[in-house]
Amino acid sequence: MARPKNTSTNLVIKKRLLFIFGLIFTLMLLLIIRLGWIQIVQGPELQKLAVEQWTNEVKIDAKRGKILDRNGNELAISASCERVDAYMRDIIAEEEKNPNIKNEMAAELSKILGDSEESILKKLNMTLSNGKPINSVTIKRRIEKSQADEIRKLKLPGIILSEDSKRYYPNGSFLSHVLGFTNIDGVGQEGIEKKYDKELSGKPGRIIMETDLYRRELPYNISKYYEPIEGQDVVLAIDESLQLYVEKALEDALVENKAKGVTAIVMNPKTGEILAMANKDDYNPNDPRNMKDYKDFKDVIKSWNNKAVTMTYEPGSIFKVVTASAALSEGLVNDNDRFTCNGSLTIGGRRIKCWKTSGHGTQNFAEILQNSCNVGFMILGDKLGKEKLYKYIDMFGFGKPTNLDVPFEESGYVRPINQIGPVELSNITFGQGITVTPMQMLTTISTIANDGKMMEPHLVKKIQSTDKDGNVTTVDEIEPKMVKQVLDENVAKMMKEYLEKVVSVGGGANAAVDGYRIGGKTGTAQKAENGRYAPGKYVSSFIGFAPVEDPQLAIFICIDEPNPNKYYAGQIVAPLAGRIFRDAFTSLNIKPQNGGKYDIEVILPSVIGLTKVEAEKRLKDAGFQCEIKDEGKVVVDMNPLPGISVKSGSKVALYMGEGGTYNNKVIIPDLHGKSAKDADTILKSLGLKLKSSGDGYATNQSPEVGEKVPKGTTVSVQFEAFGD
Amino acid sequence: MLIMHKRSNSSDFLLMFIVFALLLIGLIMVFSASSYTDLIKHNGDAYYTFKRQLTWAGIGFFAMIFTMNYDYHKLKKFSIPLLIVSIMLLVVVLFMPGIKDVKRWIGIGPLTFQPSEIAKFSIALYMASTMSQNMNKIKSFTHIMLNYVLVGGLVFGLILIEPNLSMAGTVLILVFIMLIAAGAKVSHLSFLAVVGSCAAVVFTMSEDYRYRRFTAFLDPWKDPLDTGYQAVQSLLALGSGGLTGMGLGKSRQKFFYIPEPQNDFIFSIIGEELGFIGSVIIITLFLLLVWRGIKIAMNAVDNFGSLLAVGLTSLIAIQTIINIAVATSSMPITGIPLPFISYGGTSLVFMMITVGVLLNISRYQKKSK
Repeated sequence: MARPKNTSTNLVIKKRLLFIFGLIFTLMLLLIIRLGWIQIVQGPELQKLAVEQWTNEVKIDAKRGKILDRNGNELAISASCERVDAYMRDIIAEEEKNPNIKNEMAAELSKILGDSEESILKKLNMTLSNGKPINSVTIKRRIEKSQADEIRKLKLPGIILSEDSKRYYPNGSFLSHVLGFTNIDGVGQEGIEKKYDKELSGKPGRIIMETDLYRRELPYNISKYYEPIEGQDVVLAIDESLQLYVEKALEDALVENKAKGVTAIVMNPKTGEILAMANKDDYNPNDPRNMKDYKDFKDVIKSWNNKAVTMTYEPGSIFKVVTASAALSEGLVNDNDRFTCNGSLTIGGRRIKCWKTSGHGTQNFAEILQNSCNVGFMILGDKLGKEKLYKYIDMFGFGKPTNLDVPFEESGYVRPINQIGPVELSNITFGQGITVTPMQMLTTISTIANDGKMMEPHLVKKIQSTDKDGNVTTVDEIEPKMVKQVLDENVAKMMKEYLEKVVSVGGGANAAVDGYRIGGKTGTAQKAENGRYAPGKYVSSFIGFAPVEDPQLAIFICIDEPNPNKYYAGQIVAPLAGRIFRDAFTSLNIKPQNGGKYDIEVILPSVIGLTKVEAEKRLKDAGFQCEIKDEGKVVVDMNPLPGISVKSGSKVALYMGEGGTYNNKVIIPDLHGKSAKDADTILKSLGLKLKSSGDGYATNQSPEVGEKVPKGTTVSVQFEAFGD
Repeated sequence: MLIMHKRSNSSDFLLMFIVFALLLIGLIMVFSASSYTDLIKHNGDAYYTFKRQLTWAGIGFFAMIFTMNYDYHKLKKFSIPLLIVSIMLLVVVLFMPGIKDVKRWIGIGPLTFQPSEIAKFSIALYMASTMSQNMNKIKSFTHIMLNYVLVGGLVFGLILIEPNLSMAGTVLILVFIMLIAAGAKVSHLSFLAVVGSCAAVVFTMSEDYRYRRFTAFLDPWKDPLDTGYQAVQSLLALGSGGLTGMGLGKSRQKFFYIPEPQNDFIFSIIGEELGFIGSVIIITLFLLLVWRGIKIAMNAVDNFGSLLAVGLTSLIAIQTIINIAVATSSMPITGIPLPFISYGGTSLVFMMITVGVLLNISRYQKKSK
């Protein structure tokens, strides 16, 4: 009935329905296009952003490598400890439930960490510059594991404990100038720590964790772990026991001489390895910024200076080895040359004094070195001329760093050659008007000791890495590297012998060690301040090497501003050198010559008038062998005659008799270089009397050495202080 | 009159299949989206949301079975009373305690429901019923204004002040579509569209914060932590899904990055886990559903069935389009569930009732074709 009517409306409805479907269809199609745009076109970019959002990257610090001495003793190690960080999102989320949470946390943490509640609360309330809460904040670093465990137990929201490391120098200030130290982030600031920071620090690892919005790790393990590459160990050439001896010797010297500073370096001249290097006073690398002993932080920074490479000074007479080497190399001098010193020489219209103003008289080349005669060297300088002297100054490496593996090294100052006149040239021949570093002087003496071959000095022997199982692999080994042949081998040999005499009979006598052949040179220089020499301020130095026949050690020692009452290097540095040599021979196991017997000339004491037993004992103690001849109770004669210098271990023939008639002839011994006390002892053992004049060390004697005199003769000896 | 409408016994099988497919996908995705957040929020109960949704799905299923077997013609007599009840409930809800000044739910014991869900349904029923009885007056401007626009506007207004802009908007669009379907004059429809658009523009421009929120979708990256947050997170989810998706259950954005991922932004999680392919399949299912719905409307034995079918189908379509448009940042952020899929009891049950009614209408198909 209503159908026809309905049909017409139905038609309209149907059309409209199709329109509606079309509309919906179009809209959904548009949505599909939009989705395609987002998911396929923009997909990769959006995914990258999303991954950044889900992942939480945690840096894992690599463990810093150790610094070891040549024998594997630990000098710097990294101890593991922990750190506390707070991730704010969790804390803020918790704050909604418990508005007081930050205060409670600060109180709990304060109890364990010992920091004040306020300071912790301040950290927890830290905001970014735009006022929004900070993502994370470090509460405290380098806490003990026990503290960390206590904090863990509290299960505080957002508090993350993770590994941290602490640099630790087990021996305190020991070797501090060489080792250096790191800052709180474990970055090397000084010394080996700085120079080898790359090797020591390794590469930090990462944990990439997928987390939810609140930084909770997701249940399924999709974390990526990139293992840190642990730092490599640096093995130094330093010998811990020798370093210890050297440091002790320097500490004593610092006190004894009331000095501003002392420095010593021991090197193997054949390889360039630095075996010991120390400056006193030093600092504690465990707490390098301690202000306890200082008022000004600048002085704290100064205390970090490794003066062995940063101190530049006018070296004085030790520089004469350069002049002497130059003259020998250039063939300008031989043993027949004579040098006459009247106490001064006029050069370029200016009278330049020798340290011994009374003059050294006529000397040969060896003697001008032994006497450290300035006039002799001025004459040499005149013969050489500036070009030739400069050639050797340059070859020995002055004015340039030695390339020792330290972060900061000075070069010293060599005046440009075109500013050198005769006076300047004269000054340089004996080490004035030029500045050097201790390291440069050491490489110079090493070059002479090593047959003229200059080796590049280095502190590090090798770099090694240790894996998890403790297997050690050498990553890099520093091979001895020759810089250049500075001197001809023969010239170097001659220089060695001349320098040996400096120690055996010359100004370096106090450096001698029984049983060892030592070469060296002393030098006492006035310090220049504000362009003029400062009264009472000296630097006394010594360079030397041993054993002469096969040098295994070269050393440099200087005492900066010793007590002006006693400052000559021969008096204060040479004995220190002797001590360090002795220590070095012990710790490096360098044996005296001839298997322990002294291959040195010893003055034969008189045993005439003693019984056989007494005589034998006395001679054996002095290192001689006895051969008894004839019969009798007492020694009536001996051969050779007492007073003569013979090699220790020599055979001495003792002639026995019943007494009554003795051979009372003795030979005048060589007293040169002996102190008055030593000379007196020697003369007494021979039955001779001493008449002394002057102070210091024997320079002249009468009668002359080797004269046969009857017992009871008086020997007059002139003593002089060695003024250089 | 009833005798004329012969039941054809078989309801639209394809429609039922599509709905079950969507329901199943919905259950899986609700579980996937909610299990992690449930684990943390509900003391380790990863199934908290899923169990509830499963219960609602069961209730919905029986509701559907009931309505598909309940002759839709009998619904006519409920149209006015149901509308009145709906309007009353919409008033009652305004006096509910609400959550943060939002009053959308009425609680009965531990259960809550949204009166606006009932309102949508009752508007569709009311309009279909009223219009089919007044087909000759549909060209009268006064008639449509008084009977539909005014009634729709009242319901719109009540939902708007809950506030629930998206639900209110859905009602408005529903009214509009039903007017189109019923054959209202194009000039009248155009007039209503222009007036409505102008009102919307004035409304959004009137408050600065509303304007900023409204336009945030144009460039959500400008303020990714505040007004653009949800849009940005949704885009990140869809983008990481790419063509083939991260794999079922492998969404990362559900780990609190998208708040309440099982609710209005479930489509983003689907896009992330199942990729573009999965998203297109879902949209296609909805499109098929709409096609079946429109077909049912076309083949309905009477105008009431036609109009009711198109109204209910539009209800599903409007929500689907708005939900996906929001997820793809194609329109301002507004909270509307994705039919059959999003978590939410009232919505699911009413959707199932809606489908049940559609299925019932399909049982009275004309034999034409």
